Amino acid sequence: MIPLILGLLLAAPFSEIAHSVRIDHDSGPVHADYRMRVDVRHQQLGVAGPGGRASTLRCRWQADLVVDRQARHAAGTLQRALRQESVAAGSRPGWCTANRAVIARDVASATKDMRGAVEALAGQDAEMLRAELDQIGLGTS
Amino acid sequence: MRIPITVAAFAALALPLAAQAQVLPKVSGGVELSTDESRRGLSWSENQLSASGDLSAGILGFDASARVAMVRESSRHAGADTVFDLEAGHGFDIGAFKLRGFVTGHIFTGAARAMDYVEVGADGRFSLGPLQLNGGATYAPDQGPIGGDNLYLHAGAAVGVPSTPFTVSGSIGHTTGSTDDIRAARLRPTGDYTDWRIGVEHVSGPLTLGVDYVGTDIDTNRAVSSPYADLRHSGNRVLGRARLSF
Repeated sequence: MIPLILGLLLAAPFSEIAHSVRIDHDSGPVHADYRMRVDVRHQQLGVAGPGGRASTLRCRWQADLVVDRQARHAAGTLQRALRQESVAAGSRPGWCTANRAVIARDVASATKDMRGAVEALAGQDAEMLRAELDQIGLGTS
Repeated sequence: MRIPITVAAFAALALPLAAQAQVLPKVSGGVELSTDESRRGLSWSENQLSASGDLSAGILGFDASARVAMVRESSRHAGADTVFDLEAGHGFDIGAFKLRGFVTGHIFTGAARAMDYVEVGADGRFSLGPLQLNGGATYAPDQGPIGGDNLYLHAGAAVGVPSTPFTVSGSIGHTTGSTDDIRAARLRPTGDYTDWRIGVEHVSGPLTLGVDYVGTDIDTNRAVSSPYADLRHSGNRVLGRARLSF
């Protein structure tokens, strides 16, 4: 039981590999893993004001998709964070602090299927990765 | 005497702000147009269109806000043109609970007599799935402009309709006070009363559109001697509002 709990604790901070590609470069084969995470930004809107009038308090949230690339190459590891802003957004009445758990659930359901977005970001990254590899190639030649 | 109390409240708030200068305050604001400036079921703008603007800043649990609204020479406020609500508060989070204490100063411009008054209060909010519950109490100590003291107890709920931009909300409140003199009729036209509000809001980006039905159990046909009671504008009505938040 204890190793299982420990395993869960260790596993929790790491997001699963969402996408993997292999690039055959002149300097050698490169295996790139893309791990996704979601960054949530909260913005408190409105004034609290005492009861007796319609509340204007509202928490607006915006979720950004961040994909961490880790490319393993004989010369080392190439890392980069790719970001796509506002893949999901919404708002909830009230204070942001009181709504944090509810918004986390909103974000989870709105970002359930990000595979397409991750693959698109990884596709855009291929060119960048090749450029980085070319630089390494130039440095070692 | 009244303005300095509010200023003192803001000065008290400024101390932690100065001590933590490296933490940036979060600022937000908005402008709103409403077919009525309604408070506790009573019209503060003679059932006429009112524009308002507000600005709020929060840091480390402390918050300060200022709101200005047109009150359209309301007889409830001795012919005042505008009201400034200046508020300073401090909130605590206990799990999904948000508890908050605050001091509010209501300052009127263009009134024929001194109409400003101060309130203190506390409220709490709790989120449970899409449902948000809130409740609180606001107390105005004995002051000349409101003819005595005034206590407001209120409770409400708001629920976001799942997968739509609509939020439905409702609230109920009860106002009591220790005196029933001419000035007390300003916030309690015929004495202690109950008010309610049900509303629906549509949110798209920074724009919020809302419709509310507000009402009171005040007998508006009763004869009253106080010029502040404004019974014509103390009954049930429907109001619409549009807000732009930034």
